[in-house]
Amino acid sequence: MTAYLGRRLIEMVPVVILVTAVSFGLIFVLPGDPAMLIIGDRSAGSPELYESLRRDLGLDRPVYLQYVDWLGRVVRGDFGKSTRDREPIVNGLKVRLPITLELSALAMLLSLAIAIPAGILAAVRPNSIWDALGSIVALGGIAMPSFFLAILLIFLLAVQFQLLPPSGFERFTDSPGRNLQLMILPAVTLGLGLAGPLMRQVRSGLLEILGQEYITTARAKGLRPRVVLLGHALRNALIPIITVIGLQVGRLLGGTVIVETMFGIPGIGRWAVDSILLRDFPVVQAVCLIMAIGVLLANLLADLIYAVVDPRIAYR
Amino acid sequence: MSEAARDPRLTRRRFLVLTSLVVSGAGLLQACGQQAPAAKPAESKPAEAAKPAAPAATTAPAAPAAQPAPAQKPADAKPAAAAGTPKRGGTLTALVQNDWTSLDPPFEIGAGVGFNMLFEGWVRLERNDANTAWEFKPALLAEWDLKPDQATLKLQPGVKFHDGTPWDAKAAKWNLDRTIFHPQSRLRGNLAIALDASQEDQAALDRLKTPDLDTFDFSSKAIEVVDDLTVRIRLSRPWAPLISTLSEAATYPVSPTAFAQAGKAAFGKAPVGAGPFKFVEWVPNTRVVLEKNPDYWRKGADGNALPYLDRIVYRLVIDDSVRLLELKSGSAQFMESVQGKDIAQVRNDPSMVFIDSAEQGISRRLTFDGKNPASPFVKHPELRKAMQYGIDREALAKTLGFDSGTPDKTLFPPGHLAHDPNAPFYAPDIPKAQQIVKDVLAKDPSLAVNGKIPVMLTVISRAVDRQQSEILKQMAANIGFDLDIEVLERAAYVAKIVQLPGKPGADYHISTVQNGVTLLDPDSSLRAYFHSAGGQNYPHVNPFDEIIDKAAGTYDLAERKKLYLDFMKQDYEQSLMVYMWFQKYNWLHSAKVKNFVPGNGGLWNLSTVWME
Repeated sequence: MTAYLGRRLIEMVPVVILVTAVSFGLIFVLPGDPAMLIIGDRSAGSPELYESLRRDLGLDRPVYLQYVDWLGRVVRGDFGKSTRDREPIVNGLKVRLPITLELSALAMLLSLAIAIPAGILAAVRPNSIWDALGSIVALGGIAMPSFFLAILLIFLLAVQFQLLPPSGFERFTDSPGRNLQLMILPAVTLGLGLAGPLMRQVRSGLLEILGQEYITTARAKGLRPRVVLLGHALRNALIPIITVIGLQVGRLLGGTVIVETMFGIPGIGRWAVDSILLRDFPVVQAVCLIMAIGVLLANLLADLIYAVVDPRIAYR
Repeated sequence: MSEAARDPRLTRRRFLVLTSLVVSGAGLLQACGQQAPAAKPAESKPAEAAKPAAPAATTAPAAPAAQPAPAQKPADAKPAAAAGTPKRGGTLTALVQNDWTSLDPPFEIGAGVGFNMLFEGWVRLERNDANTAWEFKPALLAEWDLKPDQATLKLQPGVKFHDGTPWDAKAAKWNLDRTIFHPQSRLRGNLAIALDASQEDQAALDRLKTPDLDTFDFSSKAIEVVDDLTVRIRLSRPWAPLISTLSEAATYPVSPTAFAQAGKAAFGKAPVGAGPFKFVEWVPNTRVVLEKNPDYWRKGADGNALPYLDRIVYRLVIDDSVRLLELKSGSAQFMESVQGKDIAQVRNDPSMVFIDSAEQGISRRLTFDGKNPASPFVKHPELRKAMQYGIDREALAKTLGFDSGTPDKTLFPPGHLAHDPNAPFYAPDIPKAQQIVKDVLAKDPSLAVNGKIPVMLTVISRAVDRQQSEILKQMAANIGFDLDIEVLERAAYVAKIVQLPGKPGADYHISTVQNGVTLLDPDSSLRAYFHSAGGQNYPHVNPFDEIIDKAAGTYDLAERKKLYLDFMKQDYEQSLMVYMWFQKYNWLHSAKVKNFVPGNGGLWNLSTVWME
């Protein structure tokens, strides 16, 4: 297992380097100049200021030198400073990353809480009203854009029924209750989007397993339906479900960009949006890298969980 | 599990259950849809909020010695409702669209919402007591006297910063020095332009250019302490816009002692001013919280110190729809910039008060590159007039601005110092526009491709600009132009439109721009858009430098007005900018909020607001 883990981590290195090169390079391919953007509106008549700003930002050096320099610093945990407020990016990450992780974890838990029972119900009662209802929710979750779902949920739960605050953020350490209250709507918005494909996967995986001969044997042995379902069928259906969960992490992190913006949550998703609009290159690069590493690690974790769920899988 | 439960057939019972679910779902969706009724005709309800009573009484300092105040009565002065007796206490939650970059005035590059509550300005640009015009009122300055070679500023006595340190001449000089000489100060150019800096220590000035400098200890020769409550600015020429510049948020004074103790970076996160509210906390990307300053120097209608509110929470909510829903839910009481499509709805909501301003807002303009030799508008300047006549401003305003849009005519709308009803403007005249194009093509047939003149319209990637460009394409086609729309994201757009001396790239034909219109001195916008030193001189030509400098260099109000009228006549002739339509600034607050009066530049003056 340790050897496998080491091999997988080494395999991740070229992927991470590729991600850094692409995120770094793409920004330079895009038209526009951050120094021009910063001074453009007010000081266009000052070429000296423009040049000195480019020097300060390191934009006057060749792109590959900027990249190598940046990569060297990133390895040491230094992402540089934001061009917007001159704050070290690592400080911003320390504050914002836990917020996004909290939102993502809540959304994932919520999606599992919806998808697994609904998928099981749909599988054990195919073509029933529950199956139809589950399909409607799943398709709705997949089809409805998160910005629309967010507005709909705010309108229903905050304006009409006044059950929850519409938007805002409170640090968990300052007020855990208020934090969770404010996180419910964004987590539901993100979670519903994830629950759809997950529920479909649980349903189809279980339906296939339930038709297997060993399930018939288990039933014939007189095992209780719950034991057959949860102990035999669901466990065997878990491998593809875990794969889907791993793949959903990318979608989850992408979704935080919109949901954090809509609900006013100061996580890294919203930071990415603000920084792209302001062409705060160092922040965009850092956030892209962190998100990419997050997706890679989530998929590695999914691979490792296979062995836990299915003892037949052994990593060497 | 029963066999029946696994039966895949659709029974009649299941069919009925499914049908009822679908019907209920449709009902729910319909209910949601009812929240946003179709816009009612404008005449269904008076648009304006009730006129206010006279502004709350304040301690009345001595009248200013010389005051370059706009004297013109605005066309529609309509501050918010003032009603009943002021009530003290309570927390107001106001929603803002953009985060702050710094809470230190000269270094904030965003909107600086709330700065006028946290800091006290040198002067306040507000409506006069008779509510007939805007004027500069004393704030941290009690009086001022402008002479050709100097400006004498008398300070408001008895004022303290929130840290208890006094507002005196030393603090005033330090603040002026910082605003004018700090390399990162936003308004340094606007003040330094007329400063007599001939005796300054260049080595000391160079030291200020150190990156991330955390202190400021530069002391200029041009600004002198006369006595405890008087400072003098030595000028290199008469400068009429000086007091107007000192009303801008980027010049608001801060406590020099607190700045020295904290350093620039830390001070920008926890500032100390002299405004009606004190700083409590700033959670970046989330909120800024202020609380009442019990020692504020201005008095309310009840004779006690302003403000009436105990706290203000400025919460950042970026999405337009979410901001409106926040107000509807009651979790916030104040916001700005209601979208045009929502205005009819909020006007009909008795739980809210909607206010807009015909004097302040965003002017949407079409600008011509005046020097790009490849542009047909440079080869044949009369084609600019064809565009002027060919654009239906009314249609643009209605289609894009809904209830908040009005057709635009000139650079200065009514209510402004430089507004003049005699200023010439272009009224739509399609046959005339078509004739101009025809005449040009007769002279220069090589311009035409398939019978029309090809033109590149460069626009920023912003929803309103993209929609606007499609409408302009139709209008231009009607008079003989074939517009090719080039949509660029912001940085690329700025690179293409803004000309840096010696830098290539700024070479467009026509472009759409949006410019904020406020009640500041006319020089601030003229210098930005039409002067060679202006950061937004999109036409790239400078035929107006002389008249702009002349108008700013005299304290004679009648003379200035005459010069600005001359400018507008020249602007009409040159036709380097088409004033298309005007989007009024607007504000929305809960009906529980009383006595809100819009300030200049969209500032939210909440010091005299109370809640019921």
